[in-house]
Amino acid sequence: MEFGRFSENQTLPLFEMKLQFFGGFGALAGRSEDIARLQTGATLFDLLQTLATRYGESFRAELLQSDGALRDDVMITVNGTIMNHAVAADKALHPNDTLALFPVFPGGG
Amino acid sequence: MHAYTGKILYVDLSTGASRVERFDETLAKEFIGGTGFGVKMLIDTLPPGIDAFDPRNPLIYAAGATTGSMLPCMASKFGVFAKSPATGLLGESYSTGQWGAELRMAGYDYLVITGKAKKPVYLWIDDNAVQLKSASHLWGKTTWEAEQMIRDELGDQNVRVSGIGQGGENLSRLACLINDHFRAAGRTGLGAVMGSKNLKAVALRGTQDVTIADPEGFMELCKELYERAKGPATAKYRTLGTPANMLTMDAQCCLPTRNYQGASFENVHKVSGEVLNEKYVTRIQGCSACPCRCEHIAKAKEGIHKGAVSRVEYEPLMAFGPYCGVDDMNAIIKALQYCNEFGVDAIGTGIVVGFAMECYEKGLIAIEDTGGLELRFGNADAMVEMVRKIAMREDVGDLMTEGVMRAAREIARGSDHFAMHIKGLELTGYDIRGLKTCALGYAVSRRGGDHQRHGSYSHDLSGKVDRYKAERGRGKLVMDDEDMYAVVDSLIICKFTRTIWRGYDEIAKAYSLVTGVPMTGEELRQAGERINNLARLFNIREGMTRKDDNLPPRVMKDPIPTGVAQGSVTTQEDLDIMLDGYYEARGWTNAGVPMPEKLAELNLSSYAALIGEEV
Repeated sequence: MEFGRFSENQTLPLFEMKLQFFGGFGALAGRSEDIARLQTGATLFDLLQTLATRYGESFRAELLQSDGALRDDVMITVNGTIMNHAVAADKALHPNDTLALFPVFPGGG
Repeated sequence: MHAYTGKILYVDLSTGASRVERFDETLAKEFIGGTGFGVKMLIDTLPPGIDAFDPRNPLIYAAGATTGSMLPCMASKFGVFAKSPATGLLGESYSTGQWGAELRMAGYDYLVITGKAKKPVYLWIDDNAVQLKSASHLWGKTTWEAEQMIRDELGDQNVRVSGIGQGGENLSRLACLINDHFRAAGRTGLGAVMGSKNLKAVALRGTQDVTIADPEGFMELCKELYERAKGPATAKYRTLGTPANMLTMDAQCCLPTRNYQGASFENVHKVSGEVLNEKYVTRIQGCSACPCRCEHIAKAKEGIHKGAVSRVEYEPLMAFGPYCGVDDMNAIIKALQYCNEFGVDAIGTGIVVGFAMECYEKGLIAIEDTGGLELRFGNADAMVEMVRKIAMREDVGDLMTEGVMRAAREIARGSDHFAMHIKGLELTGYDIRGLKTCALGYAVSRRGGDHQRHGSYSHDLSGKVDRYKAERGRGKLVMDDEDMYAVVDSLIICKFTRTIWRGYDEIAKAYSLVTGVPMTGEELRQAGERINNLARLFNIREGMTRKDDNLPPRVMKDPIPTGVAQGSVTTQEDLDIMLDGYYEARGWTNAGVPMPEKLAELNLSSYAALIGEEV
């Protein structure tokens, strides 16, 4: 699959990165791992928006609020580092990066 | 007032007398219900400094403000309060299911039990009729056996029972209260308080209506909340449930493993939420008036534990899985069933078993102490048997049932270094060496080592802050979390569904629609702050100081050995930076004592004498 804001511009080179889905994200995506093929210059925002479209409405609802903002109870890591939601959107992605999506569960009693 | 009955039922087990008193709207508005009611009643009625097993220690049940209504996710919960046998401080724990709604429908918001019966009894509340009935034939029975026997002898299978098993009878400081088979008021040893009173259970049957102030507005709100509660905000609880946290916490090195010797588990994939749901979960059920339905019931499928049944959530799965180095899901389910049947806290008991395993491997306890058990990490069958020994006080279980703080004092020889507790309460399932905000939340939690009074891991795990960095500003974050949680635990909103709400204003509107008591969002927030300050005063009165807002030595000195958080510790210096910021945000002295001005602001000046010598 191919992602990125420059998908219409075929002149930019492509790179691959690894995707990991934990908890409900895996069930909704139908897989626990995948490969994304991105165009140079793609950001985390581009990737998440495209994932939300690619894997369907339930996956989108698990990831994003109705206004398109990231849900507070989602943890995103790139190469194992937790992304600050406030600044994650502009995170530039690079070849061989690994993105992981985790649900976080506020607990019981 | 609506929803509230405005009635408190007092029962004295020493004399057998009961009486009903009324409370007014002021109490409701200032303390809401649940936590607020429990803390207020405890500080007002407990004689200062008495032992938790003193008959004067009141065992308090408090319904949430909206318990018994049909308000989604706010209709089922109740809190239990007493001086804790585990911590000697505020004891509090919460349960759900059907019992809380039944208390309100029986006509009471509060139930306060004092005294001690001469022989085992159970309390039978059938609307206005209150009786003490002999429980001699129930003593020694499991919670499940006793619940069924009570229903049978009362001739009503809809009777709701909250009671103890052998753990409470044996005064285990891990003892809990079980209702509706799988639901527990698990933490702080409140089952032992019930046991100390020779009380086996409280059985309820209520047939009275719960009235609503604005039925039309209420129904509109219910429809809206039902839709939200069935929507994406809670979907993960209905599908994999909280055990999905296993892989998440493992990947982030937040999964306490082998008594905190590690923060990730090499066999986590054998005890993941995914495996649990694929192979072991047999049904998913819900609480009173809840459309969310999160309760995953699992059944052991093979081996000597085949047929064992338990509800499974992340915390107990962590405690009997990675924490004990165990990767056998069948054994974990059996250990959890034992906890439910014998009435011991599934989190605390797992932590105690992990502690005992490390003691055994270090030669601090021997096979003669364990009754022949090779109590090594990963020995699943030994783990299961230790749960039974802890509840029954057999062999080293007699010591371990006192909790890791007291066990370490007795064992000595450096075992306090790896006794994972705060204020005497065993830690829960977040490795706080690499979660600094959460570490502060644990350190100041009013009931001890616990994530449930603040939920502050959310800041660290959402990346809103640097999880590895200690800053004064974390104090304000934790304070705000605590105040919101005090409101949540007073209403009582199920925490699994708190994300369906849109802030204090909306919650206040719901409260007023149900109760008819005017409330603004700011008044509600301030009630949360009031409750936390009063709880602090209670703990100070019972002897707590700043030094008790601490972390276990292993958290401060033993770095996480591997993984993305390798090298992380939360040092004393880290903690002091955050504590100073927390006390400042709270308006407390540097010793952690509320200032008179703060008490006046919260209408708590009548308690100022409690801090007279401290400020």
